[in-house]
Formats: sequence, C-alpha cells, structure tokens
Amino acid sequence: MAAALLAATVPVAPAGGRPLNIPHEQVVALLRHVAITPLSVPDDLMVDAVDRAALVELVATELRGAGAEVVPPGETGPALTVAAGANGARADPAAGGVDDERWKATLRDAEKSLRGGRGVDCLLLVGLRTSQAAVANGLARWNGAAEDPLTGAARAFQGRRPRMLGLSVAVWLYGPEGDLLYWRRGGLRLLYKLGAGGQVVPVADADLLADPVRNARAVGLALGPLLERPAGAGSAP
Amino acid sequence: MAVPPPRALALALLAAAGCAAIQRPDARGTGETALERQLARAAEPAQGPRYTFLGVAMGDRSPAFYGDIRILDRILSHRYGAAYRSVLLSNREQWDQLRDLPLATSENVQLAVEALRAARRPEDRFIVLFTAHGNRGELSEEYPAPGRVRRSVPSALLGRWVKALAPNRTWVMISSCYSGSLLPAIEGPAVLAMTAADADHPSLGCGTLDRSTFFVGALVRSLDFDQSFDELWAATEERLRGYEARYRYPGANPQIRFGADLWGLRVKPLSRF
Repeated sequence: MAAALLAATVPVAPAGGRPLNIPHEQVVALLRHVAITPLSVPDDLMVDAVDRAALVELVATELRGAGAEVVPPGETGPALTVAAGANGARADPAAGGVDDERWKATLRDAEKSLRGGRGVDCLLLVGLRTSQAAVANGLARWNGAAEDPLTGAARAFQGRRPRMLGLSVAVWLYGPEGDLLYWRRGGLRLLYKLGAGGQVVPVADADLLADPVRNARAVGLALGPLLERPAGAGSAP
Repeated sequence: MAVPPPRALALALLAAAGCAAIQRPDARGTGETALERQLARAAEPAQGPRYTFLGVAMGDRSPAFYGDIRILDRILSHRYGAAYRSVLLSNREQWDQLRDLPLATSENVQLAVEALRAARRPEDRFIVLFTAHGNRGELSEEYPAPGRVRRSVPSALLGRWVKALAPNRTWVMISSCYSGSLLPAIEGPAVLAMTAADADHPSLGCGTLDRSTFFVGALVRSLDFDQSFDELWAATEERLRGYEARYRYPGANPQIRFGADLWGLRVKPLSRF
C-alpha cells in the first residue's frame, strides 16, 4: 500500500538528479534519524518482496555507515499511509494538478509520528525508475551506469539503437518541513536487450534485482554525493 | 526394391524420426540448468515436505512466457527456502550462445513429470505453471529448432502429466487463451486449478514486448501467503479487469477449481497449501 502510494506521489524528475538543494554539511547534519520507505516500483514491473526488501536494506546499510539511525520501511510505510489519508492525495483530481502543500503536510506528519512520536530528521523515499539510455560506442549509458545492449546472439549483427530504457535506483531525501533536499538516480540495468534480429527483448522481471553487485553499485551511485565525505574528513590526524 | 529419390528419403526419415529429433543439440539445457541437473536437484531430500515448482513456458516468440516462469520461480524460491525445488523449461528464443533453460518440449515435460513422480514423497507439494499460446482443447508448443517447430499439446496429454503427480497436492496454473477448455482434463481431487481464461475467450499479454502474461502478472502481484486462496483469486480478478479495461477487452473470464480434497483451502492462507 505504502509502496503504491509512493509510486503515485514521488516527483517525476529528469534522469541524473540534482544532488543537493542545500549545502552538503547542512544535509549531513540532518542524517541523524532517517526514516526510509519501502521500495516503490513502476506498475509495469514485478519485483519480489524479498528483493525489494534487500535493496532497501542496502540503502539503510549505507546510511548507517554514515552514522544515521534508520527507521525501517516496515514502520515508515504505514506512517506515510496514515498521513496521506489524513492530508489527502498529492494529486488533486478536482484541480487537475499536484498539491505540493498536501504532500509536504503528509511528509511532515509522517516524520513527526515516527520513533514513538519523537520524530525523525528526514525521510528517504526509495524507488525504481526508468530513464532513457543513450547508446554510443556499443554501450548504453544512463545515470552513471553503462551496459552492452546487445545479446550474444545479436552481437554478430551489430544492430544499433540510439536510445534504450535503463532502470535506476532513485532516492529522494525530504527534510523536516517536507522540503526536497536531495535526489538522485543510480543506473541499475537495462530493461531491454537487442536480440539477434535487432528486436527488443525484455529482461525478465526476475532478473531485475537478481545481481547483488549491480544493486550495490546502483545504490552507491544514487547515494554517492549525499554520503561522500569532504576531502580529508575521516582520515587519521 | 526400388531406391527412393533423395527428397522422398529425407522426408521419410524426418517422418520416422518425429519432430523431437530435430531439436537443437542443447534442447536439454546446459550447465547448472541442464534438465538432468535440475531433476537431480529436485530429487534431493528435505527435512519436511518439498515444494516443487514445474514451470513450462511453451511459446517461443513472446518473452512473456519466460518471464512468467522466472518471476514465479524467484518468488517461490524465496518463500519456501530449503524446501523449494524447481524444474524450469522454456522455449524462448535464445539470446546467447547457450540456452539458459532446457526447451519446453513435450518430451522434456514428460521426462520431468516422470522424474518428479519417481522422487516424490507423500507430503510433497507440486506447483505447476503452463504458459503458452493456446486454442480450445490444446496448448501450442513452439520452439526454435533447425526451422521452427510448432506442435500442439492436447488436453489429454496435459491431463496425463497433471494426474501423474496425483495424489500429491498440486496447484496447476495455465496461462493461455481458451485455457478453461483444459480444465476437464486436469481436474482431480487433489488439484487446485487456475486458468487465465474460460473455454471461449482468449487471454492477453503474449506480445513480443510483454514482460509477463496478464494473468500471471495479476496473480503474482496479488500473491500474499498470509491471505486465502479466495482472497488471492478476488485480487487477481480485480487486477485483470483493470488491465483488460485498458484494452477495452470484455474479459478472459479466468477460472478456478478446487479438487474435492482441497475445498478447505479456499479460506485458508496460501502458506497452508
């Protein structure tokens, strides 16, 4: 339910991401208590619940590594659902647009209700999103990732397609007032390959999150600018 | 005795050998997914009941059939852990130099069913998915061979495969057009059967860009092992209606049948299967 809510409400942003909306040190100062949502997945893709949880746990591990205390998705999801019920949907069918104030109110209420009412400093939405991947020199590139778009069988034909669809891990970090502080996508894998006759062949949904190394790399790409330490920080004096 | 002309001889040899003889050399799969290896793993003992998934994707040109068996396999493997066994067969066109799964030919299905029957114990459960194009009373079996092979699997053969697993509890799903017409052949006291359509309607989702058939997509998205089969079915039907409405399709009218021994499952959680 919460994942469906998030899939319908998270902002649509161009590929790549504008990493930081406020100075890095201010964002880092907020990474003390972070609530993390269940993974939202586009409707046309199927991802097993265990795979979803594993990907979100990778994100949580990164945050913990940066010193944050993480409120798990099992608590954050229901809190968001309750808050959205109280504030109304972000999409406003009557006005035909998006009501950002409702969305901010939802986020604020959810954040305040967590940790037994003690609240969190920020909320991290996690999802899978698709983006265009440009193909050049035999590689499809999108959101920091690169992948050969051809199957073994197609390699002999060297068919070329200027753009394909890539799947990415996307994160959105919201502050205590519901303001978007950071968002970014990390390329995960192509959604399609090119078959022997140049036809587009979907990658099986079962394979989308089946490779832990790819998953970790995509999470790293998505969180990199958020968690990176300033030069010299953390090193021995 | 007259010597037959070469063309007639070739045709006679082909006819004598049957379609199976012109399968690809790697029809039985390679490496860890070779049919023999899958069957050997499926026979490995477990502490309690084993849950064995037999996924059979008989269509070649739509990736949806392959997607169907792969996503269900992944979900079930996570669900049942050490008790899980699987045998996956697919006719999907080959991407790389080697097939990643053995072909879903009738011969390979027969071998799989015989092996599962031989290795089963009374407490074992079977979950079977046939996903393919279909017509009334038959499934289509299509696979890339030297030339393209198209055969039909009549309902009687399908019924023999399912009944070979009796009396073990067996959950059979068939995702194909007109799959309701196959129900009389597969029903049995210990069989829970679900079909994507009734006997008179096509089902949707088997195009060349589809990631899964509509029926399996709706079923998988509705899977909640804490809910009952009745709840699973209601959620699946609702999702399907949504998909079909987008295409202004009046509905495939999916079917469900509980065998006489399984009526109690209707209101029990899927985890009790």
